[in-house]
Amino acid sequence: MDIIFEQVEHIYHANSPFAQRALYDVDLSIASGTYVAIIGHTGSGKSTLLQHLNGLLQPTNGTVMIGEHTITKAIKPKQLKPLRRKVGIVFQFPEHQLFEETVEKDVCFGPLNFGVPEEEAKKKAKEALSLVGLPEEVLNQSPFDLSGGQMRRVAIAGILAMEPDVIVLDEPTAGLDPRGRKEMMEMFARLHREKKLTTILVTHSMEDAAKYADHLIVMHKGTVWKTGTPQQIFHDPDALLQLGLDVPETVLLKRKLEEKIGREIPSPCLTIDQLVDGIKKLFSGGNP
Amino acid sequence: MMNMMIGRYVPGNSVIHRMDPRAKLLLVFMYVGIVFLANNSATYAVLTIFTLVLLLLLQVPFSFVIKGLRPILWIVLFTFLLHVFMTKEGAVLYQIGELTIYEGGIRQGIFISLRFLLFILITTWLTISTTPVEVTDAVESLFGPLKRFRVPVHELALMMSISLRFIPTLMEETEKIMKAQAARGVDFYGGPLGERIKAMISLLVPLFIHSFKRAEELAIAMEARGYRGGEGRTKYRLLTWRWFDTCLLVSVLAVAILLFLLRS
Repeated sequence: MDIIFEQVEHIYHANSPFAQRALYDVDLSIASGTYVAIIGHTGSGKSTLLQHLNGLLQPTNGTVMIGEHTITKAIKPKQLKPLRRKVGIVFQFPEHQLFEETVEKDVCFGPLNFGVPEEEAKKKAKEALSLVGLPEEVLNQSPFDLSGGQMRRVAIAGILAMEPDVIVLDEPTAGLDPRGRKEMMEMFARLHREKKLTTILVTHSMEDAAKYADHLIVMHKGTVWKTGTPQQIFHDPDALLQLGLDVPETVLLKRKLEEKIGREIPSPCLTIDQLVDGIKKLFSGGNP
Repeated sequence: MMNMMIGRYVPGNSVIHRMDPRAKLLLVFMYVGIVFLANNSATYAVLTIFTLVLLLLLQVPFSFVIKGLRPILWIVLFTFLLHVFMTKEGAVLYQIGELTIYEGGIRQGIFISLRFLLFILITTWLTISTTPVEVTDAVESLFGPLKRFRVPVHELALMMSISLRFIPTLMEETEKIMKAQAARGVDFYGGPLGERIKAMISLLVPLFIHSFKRAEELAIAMEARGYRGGEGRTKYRLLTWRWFDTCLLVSVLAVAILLFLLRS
């Protein structure tokens, strides 16, 4: 499912004294099966943008095309329900949405809402739990007896059980410890690879964006500031720093090193591995 | 949610905004008492003029006040119609089949709905000019003497301010959870009754769990900062009674006396 935004604008409380323009002139396209990261400041319109992806919000102007669905302001919310199954959104702190008595019931909740028969929903719940790396024993436990990290996995399983084609992640690692963060990000990378899930990640971590995404979208003050591959985006760290955004630590380290030794490191240095490679190449360059 | 104008504070710097909230609260109490003294055109006229003067002193665009009235207009209209059709007094004005409209009914209808409007206007007057925190302070101070009879005035006031403080937070959270569940295919605005109950459960359970968690966190945070009840606690916002406060309360008394003289 390709996703195309054309001249999308969203104004909250339009035609009232509280009107607030959250998005304008948003043009972008996300090809099916890619891993895209959306980065930007708090208040840059990321959250508003991602709620357009499954019709929770409708543009006040412009069109959003998701697969065969076209969303404009004229479309009735009822028509958008089939789309919600295709695009799963994992909101920030998704464990807040758990409510059932057992993990199994909670994971089945989504599929059942979309009319999947009960037996099949249970089967999908099992699969989804193994996808997020939880043992089958938790099926009959109360989600509220689990640890925070496990609760989050259950909530994510609840979205995966709907078998969406696109998964949207709003800061999925917020509040996790460093190890939990890494595991979570590796899990999504694996899902993306194995299930060919189109993955859209909203994040504040430039390291994650650089490491996992094929494509970056930089939002600034309600519109798309720049799109490109991580290499293209982080090629000019100063522009990003000026927007008040970070760049991966390794990019800054690369620059410092280059200033010190007066030579260019032949690598984009988006991750630690790339930086190490770059330095290796630099020093073995003279005598191969 | 944005149309909810009842009970909304509108920032300003009018004489009313700067009044002691205790005086405003007392004024409203007294006012509610004297409204019942009015029983003819003259007394209602006096009350209406007094109320309008109070509203003018707010120096807030009148549209804010009107917006506050809109949701209640239906109830006022209903009261009016009820009195028009139910009161059987005075000369007959109209007769349509079984329905008879008497002169007394129209009079009564106008008076009662006016009384209703005046109540709402005076409470709007209070909430437009007074932040919820000020109201709480005033309540705590006015009911202070009850502490002697072991009424937990401070605790009650604290509960009031905490619940007021968390209304926007709860609203925000409700919206977030609704969106998260809508993304899982919940339809909050339609569908058969069974499904709608299920939808409400998927909203209310997380909301409750979070409220309890938050209450506990808040209690710990308060204790960590040395909170130990109202005993010996000083105030950050001091209430000061000015001559204007006295003046206004005296003017309510004057209106009360006037009503006594004019009522039939």
